[in-house]
Amino acid sequence: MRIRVAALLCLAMLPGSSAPAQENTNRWRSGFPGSKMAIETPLKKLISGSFSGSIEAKEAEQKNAKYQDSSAFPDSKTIKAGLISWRPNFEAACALASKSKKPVLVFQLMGNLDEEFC
Amino acid sequence: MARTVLFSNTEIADFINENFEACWQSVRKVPLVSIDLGQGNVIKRTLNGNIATYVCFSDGRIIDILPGLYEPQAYKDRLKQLCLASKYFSKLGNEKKNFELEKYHKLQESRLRAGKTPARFIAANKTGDGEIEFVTKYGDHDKRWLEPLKEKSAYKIKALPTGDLASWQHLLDDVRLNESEMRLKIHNYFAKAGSSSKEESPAKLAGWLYKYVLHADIEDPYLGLKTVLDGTYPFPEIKANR
Repeated sequence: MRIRVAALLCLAMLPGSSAPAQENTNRWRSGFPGSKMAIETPLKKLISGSFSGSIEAKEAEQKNAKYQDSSAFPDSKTIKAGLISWRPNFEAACALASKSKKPVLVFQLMGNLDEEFC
Repeated sequence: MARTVLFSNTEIADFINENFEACWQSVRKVPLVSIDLGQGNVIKRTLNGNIATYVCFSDGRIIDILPGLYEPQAYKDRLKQLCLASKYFSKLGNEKKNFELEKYHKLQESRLRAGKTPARFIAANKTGDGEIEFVTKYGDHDKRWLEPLKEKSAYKIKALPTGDLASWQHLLDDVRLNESEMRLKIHNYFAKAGSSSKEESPAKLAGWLYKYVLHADIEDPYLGLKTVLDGTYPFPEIKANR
C-alpha cells in the first residue's frame, strides 16, 4: 500500500497524465453516515422483503447498499461494470447458486464497480 | 483496473458468467489522490490493488479467496481451480466437507510455506462434472508466480505497456505477491479457523482481509497510512488542520 501511494504520486506527476476532475462533494454528503438517503434506501429494500438470511447479513447488506445504490450519489459518473452478469447482492447470488448449483463469486472493492473511480 | 483488465475481457467474463453466480460488494468509499496544480488543473487518481475475489458455496460459506489484482490468464486458472474445488467439496457430506476444506487449506499453506507449488484439482473430463481429484504432483502449474520478488524491483516504477494493460510489469509482480505471501496468510487463517470458518461471510471477513492481507485498514479513516503521511511532513500545524 505504501509503495503504491508513492508510485501513484510519482505517476501523477508525469507529464501528459493529467485528467479532468470534479469534486463530488454532494455525493460525499449524501452517501455517508447521517445521510437520510443512505439510511432510507436499504430500509426500503428491507421492508419490501428483498433480503434473506441472518441479521448480520442484513446489516452488512444495509451498509453495502448505500455504496451500491447509485441513486444515493446523483453526481457520480456511472459506467458499465464490465461484461459480467452481476447479481444485485450476495443474498441474491447465493439464492441463485442454490438453484444453479454454481459457486458464488464475490468481488470486493473500495468504491463502486459501476463508477469511474473505483 | 479490475474492470478494465478482467471484467471487460470477453474470455474472463464468459467464464465467470458460465460458471459462477457473481456479485460485487463495496467495503468503503474509494480513496482518491488529488493534486491541485493550480489554474483549475487537478489530477485525480485512485490507489489500485485493494480488491479481493471470494469463491463461496451457495450457503455463503467461503471456500477460498484470491487477494488483489491478477493478470487475466492467472485469474482464469485460479477461478477454474476454485470452481473444481467447489464441485469437489459439494459432493461431500457436511462433516466430511468441513474436514476436507480444513485439510485443503492446511496442505496449501504448508506447500506455499515450503516454496512448493500448490496442490491442484483435476477433473476427469472437461466439464468438471465427472470425478475430481486433488493432487500434489501435477506438472503444469505455473511456477513463475511463486518466484520471489526482488525487493528493489518492487519499488521501481515500470512504464505502462504500449499494448495490453494486462502485460504491465507492476501487475505481473502483484500476481506473484498475491500467489505467494498473500494467499499463504489466507490459507493460514482458514486452516486455523477450522470448522468455525463456516460462520464467515465475505462481508464479515473484509475487515481482517483488508487489514492483515491487503494492508489497507478499512476501519481506519486513513487506511493505516497516517503515520507514513505525517511522518515525513515537517509542518505540525498544517497536519493538525487537515
